[in-house]
Amino acid sequence: MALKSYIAKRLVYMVLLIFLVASVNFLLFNLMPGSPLDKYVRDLRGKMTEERFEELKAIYGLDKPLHERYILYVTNMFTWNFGYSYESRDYVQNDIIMVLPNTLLLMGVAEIGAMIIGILLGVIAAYKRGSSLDTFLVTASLGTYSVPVFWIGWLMLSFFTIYLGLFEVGRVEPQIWAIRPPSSILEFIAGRLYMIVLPATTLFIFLFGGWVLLTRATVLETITEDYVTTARAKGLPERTILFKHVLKNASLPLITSVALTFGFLISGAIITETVFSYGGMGLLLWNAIQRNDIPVMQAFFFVMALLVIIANFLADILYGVIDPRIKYG
Amino acid sequence: MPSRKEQFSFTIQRFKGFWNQYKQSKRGVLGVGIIIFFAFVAIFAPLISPLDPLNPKWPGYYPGGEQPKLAEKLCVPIWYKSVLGMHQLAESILLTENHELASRTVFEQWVSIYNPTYTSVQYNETRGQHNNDGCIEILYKREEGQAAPQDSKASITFAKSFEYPYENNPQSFWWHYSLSVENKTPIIPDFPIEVSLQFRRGNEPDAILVKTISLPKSVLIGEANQTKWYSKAGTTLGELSIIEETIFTKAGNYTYEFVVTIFDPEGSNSDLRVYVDNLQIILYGEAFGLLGTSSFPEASPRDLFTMLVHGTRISFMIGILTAVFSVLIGLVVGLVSGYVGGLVDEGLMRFADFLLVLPGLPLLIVLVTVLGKSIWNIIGVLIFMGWMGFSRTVRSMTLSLRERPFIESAKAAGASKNYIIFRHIVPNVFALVYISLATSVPGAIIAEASLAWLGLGDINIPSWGIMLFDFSKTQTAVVKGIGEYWFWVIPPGLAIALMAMAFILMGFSLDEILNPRLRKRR
Repeated sequence: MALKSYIAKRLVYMVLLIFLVASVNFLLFNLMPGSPLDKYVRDLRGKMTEERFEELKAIYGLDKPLHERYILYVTNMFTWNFGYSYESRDYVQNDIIMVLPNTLLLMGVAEIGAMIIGILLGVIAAYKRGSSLDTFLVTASLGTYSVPVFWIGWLMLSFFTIYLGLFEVGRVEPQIWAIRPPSSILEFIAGRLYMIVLPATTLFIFLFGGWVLLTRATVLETITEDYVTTARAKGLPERTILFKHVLKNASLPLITSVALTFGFLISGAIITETVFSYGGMGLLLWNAIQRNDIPVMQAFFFVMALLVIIANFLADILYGVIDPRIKYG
Repeated sequence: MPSRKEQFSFTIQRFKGFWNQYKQSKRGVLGVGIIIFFAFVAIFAPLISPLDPLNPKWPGYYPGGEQPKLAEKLCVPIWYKSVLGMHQLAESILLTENHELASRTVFEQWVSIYNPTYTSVQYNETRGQHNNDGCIEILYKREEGQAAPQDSKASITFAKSFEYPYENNPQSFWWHYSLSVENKTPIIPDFPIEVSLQFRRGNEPDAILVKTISLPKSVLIGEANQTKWYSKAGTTLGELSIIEETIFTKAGNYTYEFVVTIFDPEGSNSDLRVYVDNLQIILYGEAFGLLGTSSFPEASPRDLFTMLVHGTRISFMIGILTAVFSVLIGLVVGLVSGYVGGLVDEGLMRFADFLLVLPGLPLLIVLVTVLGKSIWNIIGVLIFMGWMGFSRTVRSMTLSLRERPFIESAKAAGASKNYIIFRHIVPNVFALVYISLATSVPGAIIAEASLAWLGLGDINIPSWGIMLFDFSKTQTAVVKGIGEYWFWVIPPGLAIALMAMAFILMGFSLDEILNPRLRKRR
């Protein structure tokens, strides 16, 4: 089965990449001039109990020779053992597990929305290429593409929260849940979605332009193919041609692009969360930057790279399932 | 071989042809127009706004303390007065243009009031504190046997009237003076001199006292009885912060009075000279410049228009340096990888793939944290992370070019590898270089702004990102929104967006013309 060996190959490649990322992390935080991790831990001497301090030193193997330290470090990364943050007084992995779902929710909602709207508008722009609608859509996409996310966020925040008083910001769950927890799962979902309306919209504005442009470009490539002319000659309705014949064939690069732009999505999410003080990975990182909290920063980088690698892996698998050339190749 | 002149005219012709094609894209022309505008602003930034963008101060010689800051706190744009009709807004006023008293005419603007029995006032042309320019000289003399003045003191008032044209009171004021004492006879009192700062409204009989300061002998007379200058700057904010409101209640004529009192108990200072220099008062207003001032950093609020203008330079620098170097690296890696092939290709491309997998902003953040927040580190990291996409494009182009017949024939003619790469392959991929240059710029500009906003920017550089970072530092965005502060937030954001958009538009149009893949379709 070609597909199975394809997946196996991708899986091995993924593990290799994770290993490389862990190594880069080691390089950045242990070997760079000033050795940030080493310095961070040594600066904590006396600030915490002696056992804690020794434990922290043992986690990173700071007293061991370099090669042992490296092996220990990579093992730690793979086993989700990121050490202890003095600033938050907790193990870093606990912090990350707490906030990671919030970030994934935000990114998921924004990306899915941006994909649906962006692809739709992209197909329309390509279909009406050269028209004023096309010009408008392309220019608007280029526009949203070039505005800093945090700036859009500020505008949204000012307008909707402060002037209109429509949305709460600064937390992940509605404030009222502290007194009266949600009674049903429906209420829970509604509450969570309500809280991410503003950040998700901001992230959506940041993302959808890219999808419009990409879809337009790929659809333009396929719309001139012979089989489209054939479909037209058969008298198929335009909508069927567009969405069944053109978009289906144009979808391969779009899927790849989900994975390729995942890093972009993460960048946007980090900043959006910071603007709205939405308790996700971005806010965690921002706090870590303010306090120079090295253990959180290295864990953050690793987890984010992990997300990108997994997204790439999933896209590869999906590609393999969809593209018959790989399935039967 | 064509002569140099022919070659040149050929280039011109080719460029003309290209421009004729390019200008059909309205978007592209718009992009180029915006870039030219920004380039103009960047080149002439110091002329457009001569103030220091990061640490603006009022110019002049003020030995009594730090240079006076430009504004007390957040100021609104000055055109609020005319356009929005807010005529009551106060602007900053300097009492005198030439506080160093460098010429006699400046001295004559001051009215001196004194008792001629004991004192006289004149202009001294060389005894000034700075550059040996002019200053005011007070001579106090009591002849042997002459009775001491009333209350054993003599007061000399220097008055300068000025118009305060604003309905609103100033936000605060800042004063400065310098004194020097030269004595022929020993000084007996511990506090021989007292200075008072006071204002007089119109012709009111009573002046309003701002502050009286008694100067001890030790600050006026040096160790070995030599003369020295004593300078002092101060602000009324603090214990006297309401005084601006009580004095300047309405527009009108005011007089600033600087009073020097010389104490002369029987039988002491019978012959001394007091020199006065660098008299200045700055009344800080609430409207300043085309875009107002920031309220951060508090020690020296920044002129936002100046920041905006100078930020153009930084954005250009970051964008263009990053684009040029990352495209250069991408080109070299792509050419080598595509033409040499084999293990080298495999190694380079795997490395590029790996870097492409790493999430951009997190890596940028981590690297800048580890390396330090200097602008060169930021540019370096942006270059390091910006070459991969282009190198892959160049590689694929090179791969397809390598198999073309004209390369075959060049090889058959005995051309060397270098010759083929530089003479045949590079010219064919060069169209892509232009596109990539244009499209690499916006990412770098936005990345720098985002980093700065996150607190990882170079705070010694007046970039647009730092402007926005300053604003985020005040926490007002979350508390009060940006409405009242729009002149601080909207212009830099728009400038970033406009510049990024201009380069994207240019890249987009170049892509349509130059990209062989797209050209085929048309």
